[in-house]
Formats: sequence, C-alpha cells, structure tokens
Amino acid sequence: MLKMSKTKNDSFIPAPGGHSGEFRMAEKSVFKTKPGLSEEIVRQISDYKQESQWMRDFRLNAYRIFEKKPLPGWGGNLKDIKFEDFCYYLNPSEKSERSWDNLPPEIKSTFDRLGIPEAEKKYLAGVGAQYESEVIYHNIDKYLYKKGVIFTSTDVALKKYPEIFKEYFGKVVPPTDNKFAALNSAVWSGGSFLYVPKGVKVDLPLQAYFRINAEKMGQFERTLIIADEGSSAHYVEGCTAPMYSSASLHSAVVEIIVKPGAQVKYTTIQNWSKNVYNLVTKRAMVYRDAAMEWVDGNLGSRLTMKYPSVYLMEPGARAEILSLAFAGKDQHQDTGGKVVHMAPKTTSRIISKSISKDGGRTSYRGLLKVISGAEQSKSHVVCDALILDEKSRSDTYPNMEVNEPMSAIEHEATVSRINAEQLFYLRSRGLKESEARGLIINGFFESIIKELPMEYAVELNRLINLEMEGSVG
Amino acid sequence: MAVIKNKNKVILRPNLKSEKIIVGSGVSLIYIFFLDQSGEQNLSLEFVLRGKDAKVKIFGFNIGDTEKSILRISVVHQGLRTVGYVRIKSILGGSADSKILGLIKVEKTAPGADGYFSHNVLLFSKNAREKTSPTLEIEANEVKVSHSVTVSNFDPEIIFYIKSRGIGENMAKKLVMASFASEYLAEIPDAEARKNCEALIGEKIKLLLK
Repeated sequence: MLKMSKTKNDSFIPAPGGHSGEFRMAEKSVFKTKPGLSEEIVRQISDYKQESQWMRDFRLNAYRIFEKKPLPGWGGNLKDIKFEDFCYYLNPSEKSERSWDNLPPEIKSTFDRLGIPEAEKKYLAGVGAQYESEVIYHNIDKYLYKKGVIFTSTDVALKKYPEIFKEYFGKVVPPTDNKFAALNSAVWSGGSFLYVPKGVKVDLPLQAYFRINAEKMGQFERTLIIADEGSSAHYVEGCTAPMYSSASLHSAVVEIIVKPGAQVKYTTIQNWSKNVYNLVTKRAMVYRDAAMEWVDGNLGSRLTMKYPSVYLMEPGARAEILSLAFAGKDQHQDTGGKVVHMAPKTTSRIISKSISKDGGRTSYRGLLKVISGAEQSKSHVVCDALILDEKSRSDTYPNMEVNEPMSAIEHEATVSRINAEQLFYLRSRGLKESEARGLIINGFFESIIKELPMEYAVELNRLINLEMEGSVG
Repeated sequence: MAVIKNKNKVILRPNLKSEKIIVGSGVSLIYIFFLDQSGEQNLSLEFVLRGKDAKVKIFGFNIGDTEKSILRISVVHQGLRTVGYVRIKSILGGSADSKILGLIKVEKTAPGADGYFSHNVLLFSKNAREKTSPTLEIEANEVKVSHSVTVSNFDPEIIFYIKSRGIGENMAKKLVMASFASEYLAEIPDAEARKNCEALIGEKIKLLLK
C-alpha cells in the first residue's frame, strides 16, 4: 500500500509506522477567490502563487481572450454553464475537507464492489487530505532523480525550472486555441510537469496521484510533458473508481512535445461524478521518427468534450489514438481524436469504441488532415459504436481533409447493437444475460483495454461489468 | 420535392440539381447522379425513407478537374426496416476542390434500419483537394449502420503491370479510372441505366486525360 504524509495547516506529521523520511510542513492559510471571474481574480490567483511577471501577463492576456471568444456552436450542450458561479481558485487543504458521511451512497458502494482499498477510497472521495503513499513515493522519486527526470507539479516547475518551462508552456495549446484553453490559461493551477532527458527510458508508468500535490484534483490542471530526443515515458492519470467532485467544471490542458526519436504514451481513465462538465484540450507535437500514443478512457461526467490531437511535424512521426467512451443515463461523451499530417512519411491510427445505454449519448468527433506536401502519409481510422437500448443515441462526425494525392487514407465506422447470435451462444453455455453482455462488451473494448497498465485494465473490466448490471450510477 | 410511390423505380441525373425525395412504403428506388463540371456548385440531396420497408440505393459520381463543388447528401430513416445505401466515387484531378458532406440519420421511429455510406476518392493531381464528412446520427438501437471512406492515388504496381502489357501510361490510367468508377455498376438492375452510366463515366474520364 502506498503511504504519504498528510499535509494539514501548520501540521508536522511523520509518515505512518515511524518511518523517518522527508517531512512536510504546510503553512498556507486557507485562500479562496470569490465566485466569478475578472482580471482582479486572475491577479489575486497569480499574487497568491507568487508568480513571475511573465506568467501574470500570460494569465491576464488569456483572460481577455476568454472574454471575447464565444462558446462552441457544436458538441454537447454548454448552455447551462454559469461561469459567474464558479470559484476559480481554492486552497488545496480546504478542498480536501469533506466528510465521508456526505458522500453519495452509490459512490461508496462502487468503491466496495471494485475492491478499492480503504485508504484509496478516502483519497478518491476527497476525504483524506492526501493519498497515503510516502514510502513508495520517495522510492520512485529517487529512481527518477538518478535518471535526471523532472517529475513535479506544474506550479513547482514554473518556479524551479523557469527557462525550460517558458520555452514550452503555452506553445502547443496557446490561449487563442479555444475558449476553454483560454480559461485554463487564465486560472490554471495544479497538474504535472515532466521532463525526460535525452536517451532516458522511464520504464515504470508515472502516475499523477503518486506525487505529493494537493492540487492534482484541481478544476484547471495544466500538464506539460517534454520528452527529449530518444527518450520514452508513459504517463497515467485518473482511475476507474468514480472521482467525486463538488466542482462541476473541469477544464484541463495537456501539452506534450515529443522530440526526434522519442516516445510518449499518455493514458487517461476518467470517471468523474455525473454532475461534472469535463472539457479538456490535449495536444502533442511529434517530431522526426518520434511516436505519440493517447489512450483515452471516458466513463464519467455529465458532458465530456475531449479530442486528443497529434500534429505530425516531421518525417517518420507516428500517432496512435485509442478512445473508449461509455455513456449511461444523462451522460454525453463527445470524444474522438485529431491528427494533422504536416510532413511526408507520417502515419496515424485512430481507434474509437463507444457504448451508450439507458439514454446516454456518445459522439465520435474526429479530424484527419493531410496537408499538401505530406507525401506517402498513411492513416487508418476505425470507429465502432454499440447502442444497447432504444433510449440511447450514437453519433459519428468524422472529417477528412486531404490535400495531398500521394497519401493513403482509410476510415470506417459501424453502429449496431449487441450481436444476437453472440448473446445466444454465451447464454447457451450457461451465462446469465447480464454476464453474457458484460463479456461481449469487454471483448468489444479489448483492443483498447489491453493497452492499459494491468491494474487499470482489471478495474475497468470490473467497472464495465457493474455498469452492465446497472449497479453503478 | 418528389414523393416516390412506384415500386422499383430508377432515376438517373446526368447533371445533378438540388433535390428532396420522399420514399414511400415498400418502394425500392435506385438513384444515380453525376456532379456537373460546369463551375462552382453548392448542392443538397436529401432522401427521406418515410414508409415501412422503403429502400434506396444511391450511386454518385464526381469526376472532374476544375470545379469547386459542395454536395450535402443525407438519408433520413423514419419508417420501419428501411434500407439506405450510398456509394460515391470521386476521381479528381487538375485543381478540383470537392466537399462531400454525408449524413445518415436514423430516427427513433426507425428500428431495423440498415444504412451504409461509402465514399472512395482517387486524387491524382497535386492541386486536387477533397474534404469528406460522413456523419451518422443514430437514435434507434435495432440498427445496422456503417460508413467508409478511402482516399488514394493510382497504385503504382497496377499501373506498372498494365504498362508491362504494352499499354501506354495514359491509357493505363484511363483503364484504372474506369474500373474504379464502375465498381458498383453491377448492382444497378436496369440494363439501360447501367449502359448510360458506363457511357457517361467514359466521357468524363476522356475529358480528364485528354
């Protein structure tokens, strides 16, 4: 079990078991901006964080862009978002004060049925101040340090590594990109910074919740990953158990730079509680002979709009986007992927699998663009969707723009229900209908689930079975 | 707007204009269209499968090297057990700039719908452009709907093989184009319509590689 020292106001707490490693002393007073957003609020956030002038100016400029940009006219229903009601910055220690007793019963029951350990339950529920993981955290920390890897929070990286931070921050997803990127740029807080030096291969998946970072459940996380030449890393975030959040808007930005010969895999499993708008901009720039893989699992939230994208900038660059979406009652998963072939001999593959049931709606939204001069580019896109009942809905909105004749592009999509013959066969082998459906659906998602770290794959399979039983949410 | 009630009808449009067609119960319609080459176009073609067991098979041809064209083509399934297949072939050279925006929509009232949209594109000049969006909006669950899109150039191995049989490059490309465009003609049951299609395809390819 992972152990971390708790950080509470003015507390000095040794790690459990009397282990004497590093200790943390948190002296932050509780700070919270008033609801609504203005230049004043943006300045307050920057002042509280004691940021440099350039970041302050960056935030203020982004706020002005946010004010001017309209909401997108496509995708999910965003009309109910009231920007003036949100609190845009909350001191992390206050955020974690929540009573276990107040947690919705379905969340607690899901933790039990998924076999989530006791300590982890409290973390996921936002009840415990920190996820108990100090010993293992410190071992991972030393391992990375020896390799020269920087893995820290974005806030810390801004202060400790300003040159490299400024060189890349906001370059892949500038504030002008879209309204929610502008919002995140103005009020971002928390998230991860990862720099992998040349030639370094990080063998173990780096998981966000292992770090001592109270803001990792923040509403406006900003993650920046730089994989230098010839390096490789696998970053994992989220978990299959429902992440309870009273905050109803999560708008994160993830920027990734994959330099020549490097490989990055970014895995997300999100299962936000069903009151959450999850609006995320994720983009990677990939250079010569480098590879980027997005594995994107979307199970929770009221509305998710997320389209991980890859720009293949130089010859030999490769992209793979694996997207999994499950929409139940009152949910809309508007997800997909975008790839832009900017150079010759680039390849890409997008696989999207989605299921809608109990009135849920899944929408695949994708862009495949090949610019003139991107000769010998190849791309293959597959979108498959299952609709499990007459109340549900599935949409596919792919866009292909091909401006280079010397390229080969293929796209295919299917929408159907569960194959009746497969169901009959499994039932004839003695399985109950819900077990048979669960098995078929796990098989449907298999090509994506096999790309996950094992513990995620096991939990995801369990969660899918619970969803099919109608036991969750 | 046209309402089709005759069973087993074939419609051939050598120069497509915008149109909306409602297909009644038990009707089986074959609709063949060619996009015109005479300048910029912005066209809309809509099929509503309103009646039970209504069926439409659409074959479209977009062969040219100069025009800018936008075609919105939609098949809306409203009745029980409706079938709607769309197959479009595009051969684009020169400075052709084409957008094909397809939609298959299956409403809640249309369980048992069977829909398919395919668009195959042969791009063979540096300045030709193609944008395609085959959209699906599905609100019933007892359905089988799919779509596919391919974009490519001449397969160099096929061209090489034909040339190795003593045929010049231009003729080799014409043969490949004709074969590419005619792939689904065998599905048109009406012999006269098939013959007219072959002739039109031949004419347009001849203009492309004059």
